[in-house]
Amino acid sequence: MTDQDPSLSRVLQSWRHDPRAAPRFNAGVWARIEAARTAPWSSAAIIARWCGVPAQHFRWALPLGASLVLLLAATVGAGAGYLQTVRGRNDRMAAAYVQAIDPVQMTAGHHH
Amino acid sequence: MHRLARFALLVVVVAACAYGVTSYYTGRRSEDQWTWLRLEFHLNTAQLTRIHALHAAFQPVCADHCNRVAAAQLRLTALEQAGGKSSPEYAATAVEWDAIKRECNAATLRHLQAVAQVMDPDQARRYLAMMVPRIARSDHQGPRGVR
Repeated sequence: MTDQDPSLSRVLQSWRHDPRAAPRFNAGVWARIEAARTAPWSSAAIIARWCGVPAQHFRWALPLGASLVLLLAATVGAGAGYLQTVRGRNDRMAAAYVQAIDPVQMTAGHHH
Repeated sequence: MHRLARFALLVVVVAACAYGVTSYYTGRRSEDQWTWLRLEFHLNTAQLTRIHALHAAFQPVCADHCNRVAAAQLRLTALEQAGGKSSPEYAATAVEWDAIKRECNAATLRHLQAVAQVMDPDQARRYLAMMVPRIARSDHQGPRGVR
């Protein structure tokens, strides 16, 4: 079979392909675009796929995860603030307590 | 990515606000030393009363030590101002000051140990760990009134 085969050339020249239009193709494309645009839970969809569960059951996963991270941040911040304040107060109080019973420190304070 | 960066910023702001608010409200609480001692070392009324008594008994000893330390410091300061820092009298007073200081530290340590004995063993260990280094620290310093 070569390009010079006249019968093949004739067949190719006369060949036409008319694919049948997919039913509701445009509507389907727009529906998928709209779904992607309005779904803020694409990360949840990844987790859902990974778990083998429909994505719509994971709509709450991202907001819940974000809320938990914020709660953790607040807890860590409050804990750090509390610990540092308590440590600072203990340090101050212990220093004042020892100064009140240590003559060397007491007299040093008076002479400065 | 932009949304993630905004969220990270929000996390930092929330943590910082929680830190600030907790520090502010925890730091506002003012206590006298006895209240702090009672709460920090979980003292009951009997223990607190006993420690009060130990402190009261230590006051005259402390006052005597204070007077002796102050007198030695004043002598050292006077000698230093008179330019007699290399005199034998200054050296003798410095030796005396050092001896008084050691005596004071020993007495203070004994007092701390007596107070610790009143506490529960765990609290006593914490108390000594917190207080003793503060006494020991002053043991390595020079005559403060002279510097």
